[in-house]
Amino acid sequence: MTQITLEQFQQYAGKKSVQAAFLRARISEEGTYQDFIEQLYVDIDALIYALQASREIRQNDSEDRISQDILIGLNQHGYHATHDGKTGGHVDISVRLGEHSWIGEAKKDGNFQEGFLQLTTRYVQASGNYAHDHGGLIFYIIQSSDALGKLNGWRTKLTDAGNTCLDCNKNKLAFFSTHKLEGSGTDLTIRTMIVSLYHRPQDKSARISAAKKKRISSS
Amino acid sequence: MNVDRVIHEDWAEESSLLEACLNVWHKLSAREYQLDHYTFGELAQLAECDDGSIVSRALLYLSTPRLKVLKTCLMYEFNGNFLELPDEEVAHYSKGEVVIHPEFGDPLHESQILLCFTPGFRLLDKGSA
Repeated sequence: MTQITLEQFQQYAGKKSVQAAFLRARISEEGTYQDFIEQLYVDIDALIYALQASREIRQNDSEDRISQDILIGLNQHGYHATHDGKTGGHVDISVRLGEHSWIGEAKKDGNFQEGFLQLTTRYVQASGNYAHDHGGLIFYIIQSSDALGKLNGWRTKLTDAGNTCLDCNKNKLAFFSTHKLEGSGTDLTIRTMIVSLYHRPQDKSARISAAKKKRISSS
Repeated sequence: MNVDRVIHEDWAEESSLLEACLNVWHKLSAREYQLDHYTFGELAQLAECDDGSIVSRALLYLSTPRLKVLKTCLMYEFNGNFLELPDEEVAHYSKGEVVIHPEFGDPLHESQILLCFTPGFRLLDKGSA
């Protein structure tokens, strides 16, 4: 096959993937910051869903290992995503596309407050441009069997402290909140996202398998 | 930018894609002159891969703003010639909207649009170095 129609190409790569590839290329050259943020969250959500779909093999992964997989996924989509050491410390995820930038802090079964403070008081966007006013908190939840409960608990804490929180209508385990940044005095809109990786199957074969593992490790 | 290193980093865990990307990059960058357009079939040959899904993913990746080895291009037919769709129509496509034939004003079905690739900044820059 020499020439290929768009229809045929989409059959190989998937229509949404092809459209998104064109969109990212356009955003990198002439898209607005809002265009960038919308597409970035579509792509991050897809990576989160992929992680959740393989949660059984993620039980022993470190925070850095999971973040690295998100970085690789974003880079495969054409972003420049790094574990950045030039943003006021070592922010876990720093993303650039064209002139746009975004930072994200990740924590595994960890302290929501600590990640929040790092994002709002320590790190700055790789671009140094405060008009790039979105960032993210990503929490990898492996130990808790109620990820939504964890998320809502953190959300209540923010609300009680006087912050306005808004639902995310695309990802059930995410919400938005806006905070004033120390130093610049400008706002930062944070998307808090949970990656639910808890995996303790209770069916019979899982219990037999767990018992065998226990016997092997104790012998 | 070391394109080889970036490709290796991004596809370390997917060997078939790694190989396809490197084959296309090495063979195109070794050329003294670039063509105006490359077809999917030509690039699949360079990739040395007959799996269309792998070739398509490799070509989309090589066309990303990160790599800029290639640039994706949509074409339509007019009077027996194939012409590049204007940026405005490509933008409509990327947002999932209907693409309109620039001369006739009728909706263009995806089976009437050709997809090809042009040399990206990374290949053109190499040529001018």
